[in-house]
Amino acid sequence: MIKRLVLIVLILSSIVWAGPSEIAEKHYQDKEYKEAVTLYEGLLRMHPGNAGLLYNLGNSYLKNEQLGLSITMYRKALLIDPRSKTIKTNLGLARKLVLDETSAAQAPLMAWFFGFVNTFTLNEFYCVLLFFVLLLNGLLVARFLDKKPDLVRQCFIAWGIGMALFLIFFVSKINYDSVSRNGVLIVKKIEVKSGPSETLPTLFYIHEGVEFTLLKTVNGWSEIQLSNGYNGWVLEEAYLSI
Amino acid sequence: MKKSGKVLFFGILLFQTLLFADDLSFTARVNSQRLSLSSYLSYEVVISGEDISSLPKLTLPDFKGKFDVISSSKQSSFSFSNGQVSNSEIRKFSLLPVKTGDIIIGSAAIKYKGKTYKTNIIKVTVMPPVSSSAAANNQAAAAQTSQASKKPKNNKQFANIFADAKVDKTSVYVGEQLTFNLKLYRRLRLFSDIAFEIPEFNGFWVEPLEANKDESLDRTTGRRFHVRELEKKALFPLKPGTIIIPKSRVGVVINMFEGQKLLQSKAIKVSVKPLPEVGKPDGFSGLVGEFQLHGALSSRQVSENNSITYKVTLSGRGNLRSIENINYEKDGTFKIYRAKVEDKLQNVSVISGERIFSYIVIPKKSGEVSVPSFKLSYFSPEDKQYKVISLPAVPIRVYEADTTTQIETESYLPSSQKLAVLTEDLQYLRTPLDLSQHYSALDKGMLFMALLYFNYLAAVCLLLAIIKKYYWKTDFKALRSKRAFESAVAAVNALDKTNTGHYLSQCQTIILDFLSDKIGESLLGKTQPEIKSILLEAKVSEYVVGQVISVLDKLSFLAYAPDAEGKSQLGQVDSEIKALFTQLKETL
Repeated sequence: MIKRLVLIVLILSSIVWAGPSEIAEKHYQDKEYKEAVTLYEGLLRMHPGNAGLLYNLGNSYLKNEQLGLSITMYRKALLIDPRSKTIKTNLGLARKLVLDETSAAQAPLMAWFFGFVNTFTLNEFYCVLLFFVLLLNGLLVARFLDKKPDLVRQCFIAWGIGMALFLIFFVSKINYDSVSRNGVLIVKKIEVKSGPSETLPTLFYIHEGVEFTLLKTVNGWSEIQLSNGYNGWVLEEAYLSI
Repeated sequence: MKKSGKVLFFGILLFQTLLFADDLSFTARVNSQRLSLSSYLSYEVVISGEDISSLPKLTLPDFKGKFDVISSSKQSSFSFSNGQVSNSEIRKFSLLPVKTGDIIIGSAAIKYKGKTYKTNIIKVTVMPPVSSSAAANNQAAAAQTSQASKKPKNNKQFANIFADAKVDKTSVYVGEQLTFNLKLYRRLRLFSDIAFEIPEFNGFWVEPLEANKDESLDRTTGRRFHVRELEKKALFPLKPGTIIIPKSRVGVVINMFEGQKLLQSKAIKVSVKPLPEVGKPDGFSGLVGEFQLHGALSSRQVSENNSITYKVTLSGRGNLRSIENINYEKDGTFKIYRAKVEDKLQNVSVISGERIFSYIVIPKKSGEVSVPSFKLSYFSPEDKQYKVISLPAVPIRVYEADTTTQIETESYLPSSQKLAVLTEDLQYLRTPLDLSQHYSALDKGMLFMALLYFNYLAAVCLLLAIIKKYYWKTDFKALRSKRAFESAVAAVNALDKTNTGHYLSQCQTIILDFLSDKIGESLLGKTQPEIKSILLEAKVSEYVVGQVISVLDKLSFLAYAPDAEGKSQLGQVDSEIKALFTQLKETL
């Protein structure tokens, strides 16, 4: 309750004298990271889906030694602004602070493929899809009117190849962003259990900031898979999904 | 009740896990609890735990009046098992007892996270030394007697096989290398592999040497023997006096009926002379052998408080590994830290090679200064005198701390290569923040999805229109052409033959419909020359075209003929028309 009041007062005062983002920035400059976090969190509630805000909040979290939350914010910001070098740089720095090395070596072709797919947002993919459909309609009109049939035939072949390639990338992107759910550990250290219960054996420990894929959730426990293939169960409260 | 018991058990387990989550394991151990006064005791303190990266200083037990601490070393290891990290650190101390009897080694202690940990107390028994000359003679004599007493028993066989242990020198200085060699001499064929046991070389620092495992022939005893070198060691005596190297044992199986035979070598007496006191330099390193020093500085220019590396290489032959540091003249100009020690040693017959010491040298003053001279003293057993070797002081130029640009301009490298990241920090915040930018997923937006689906629908409609325009038409013609024969025959059969006029006119229509279906163009209303022309264009042979025209003429003629004549020819016309359909079906 007090936190909310402080937030309201901070935001109201910021409206009177300066914008809340400017005040948050001032706190950040003065190394008052906790206050910067509070303000950016409030702003994010009002403006969800703002990449700049997510990035600034990620920075503030990291300076405030909240590694897991910081990585979560950077990854959310990257979904919106995937070609941002600053977000990528800071995410890289944050990942260096993670204690556990979980990444597995990926084949160069696969690494390139997913690197390329993740250079674009899902919205950009949808725009390209619309462009392909519009192009198809244009070609169909030309065919109907029987204008330059040879050229139209060649265009249809080119369209078909382009569409097939696009669909491969598009389906992969949908699978990466929408179907497979990812999570980031936000607690300092946690036991990864062999099943969804506290009484089951501990398989291994993971530390704050470890990223994983969420497989399923049962009774407040989630089955996770690390990128090195290790599987286990953690409490739902211990992570944030991206 | 059972359930609550289980809960209690797991609760205790959980409590214990939480309680000891950050605990250390802190133990002490020795290599032997019984030793002689002239032999060394290895005392190890093992510290293990999840996080031991910043351990405070270890408090050792009081060795005063019990042991002399000869050397110490540290060894770290790391393991990751079942997701749990375990670090361990072993502090090793080499101790030489100073008195006989039972000695209690007290607890070592360490303070960690506000808690004091203590090791176990260890009791060792130190026995009187066995290295008196009388004892040595007795043992050597005993060894010979033992051999002699066994000789009659297995005389024939033992004359043909025996073990021999030798050292290359029996009189050496403290620290001078002598080489121990255990060989097996045989004239018999062996049934299985050889097993052997060498003694503990108490009173020596031992380094392994490469034994020549290939057999050779030896005639020094007057008879031909196959000789195999079983073990070779470089021994460096640690203190003066007489040291007995006990017997070595070799187990061989000569044949499968007699089992393993144990061969014993003779005990060896070594006389160790003390190093002369005359001419002993101050801070004598303890090195015995022949050595040289070389130095290499990474740079002759450096800015104040930045470091350069000075590699000092000690090369030669002798107990190289016994030295951990090389002395230098200390003053306030430099801070010097030993970074690492690297060995490049050969252990064929003598221990020789290089021990490379890397020193980090940090100048604390600017200007023209000199890296201090490094000095080392050793005893040369060949010349029987002490020698001092040294590296001269090396002049270098030290710039003031804020004149790095001066160094850069003076260096030969282009300035672009001099860029180096001093520290890594986050990229700064995005300012000013454009809060109007809002990401909303297009696939969740009504307008975009409506536009997309509208275009899908348009594409489907266009596709259908094209199919209708180009592909349906063609198909319909083909369908009609395919079914033309059956339809025409059926139509002719269905005609009422009682009404001659109607029958004949309908026959003409059926023939023209049939031809229209077959060639895909309507012939109704066309004149005979036009029909002929169209059929010829459709590549119908002139003969068949003639037949068609002939049938059509005949039907026209009969239509105007008297009713009786027309009726009489109806049957013939019927069959002619059907024959024409068959002919056209095969042609078209």
